[in-house]
Amino acid sequence: MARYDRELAYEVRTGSPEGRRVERAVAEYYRSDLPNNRELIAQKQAELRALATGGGSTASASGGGGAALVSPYFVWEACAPFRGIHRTFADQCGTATLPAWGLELYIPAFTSTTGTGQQTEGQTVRRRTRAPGYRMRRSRPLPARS
Amino acid sequence: MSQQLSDRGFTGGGTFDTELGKQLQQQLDQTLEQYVLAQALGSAATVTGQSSFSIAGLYQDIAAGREKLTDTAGTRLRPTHFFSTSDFYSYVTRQVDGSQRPIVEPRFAPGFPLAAGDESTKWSRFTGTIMPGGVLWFEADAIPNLGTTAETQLIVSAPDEAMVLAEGEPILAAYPQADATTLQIVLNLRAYVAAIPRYPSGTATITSAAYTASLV
Repeated sequence: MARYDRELAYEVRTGSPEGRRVERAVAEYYRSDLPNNRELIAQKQAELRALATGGGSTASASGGGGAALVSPYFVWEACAPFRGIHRTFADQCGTATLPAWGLELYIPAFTSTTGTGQQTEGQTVRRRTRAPGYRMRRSRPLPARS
Repeated sequence: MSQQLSDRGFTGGGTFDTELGKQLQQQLDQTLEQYVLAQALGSAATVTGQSSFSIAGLYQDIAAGREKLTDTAGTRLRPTHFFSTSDFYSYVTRQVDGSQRPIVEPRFAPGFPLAAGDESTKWSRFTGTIMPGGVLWFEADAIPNLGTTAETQLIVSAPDEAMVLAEGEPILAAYPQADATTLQIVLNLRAYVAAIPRYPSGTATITSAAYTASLV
């Protein structure tokens, strides 16, 4: 329930449809005939923020962290990864499907030409055997660990 | 990642896990980029560039690199890309003429498309600059220096045709450390990758004393 309470408080702060529904529910809950009803509702709504004071990122028994009444709020959506080298060259390469088996890939290649030329009547037909070949690379695992 | 977090929150797939996954993926991408470059450069054609730096000399060296791709029998590719470090790009773009006007200027907005900023797009690290011969200039910080010297390498390539990259889906594994006093677990993200130079001469490197790694 505490987690749900934080979620609702977030919705209220962002003014989402769910947050507005929460505000209406709070107002309905504290509705009364008292003359200061509006101030009371505003006070209860503001308490969502008032309780969220001093949420520290440490869990020490002393100091601000341990004294906090609420969990610290981390903006994980804006988390800043440690940036390094990007896939600049790799993203420009042609791609192929990695097979589900085996550790070697072969690309067939012609490394020389076939023979062409003018044919003289009655003479031997020009012929030439092209050199077949392939380009091969062993696939390898690239690890990253934490 | 702590054992406690694994015990209490791992099943939910929380935000922390997502961000940790992004970090792992980024480092895996870094390793992959270095591996692919090593395969491309291992069989690349070479150009010995000018002895001292000038914009005209750079254009001449890029032209020589382009012709390595185009003139090599059996290869004959149209070069499409030019790669350098970001330091070298900064150095070239701060060169000015006699009236203090920049000589090399971008023709497109760097990082196009402007809004996305997605490093996985094909436009990642495109500088917006097109060099003579129609090669797009990309910044690639994984380009290694040449040997033990301080010279940086410039790359002219047609990577889409010259290189084939077969890449599997990354695999995530968690290894609990038995009897560990810190109760840590090790996350391992790995991918099977094969990069093959389809045309070994489809990539050319330019090196010379004019292009030192210290140029900024």
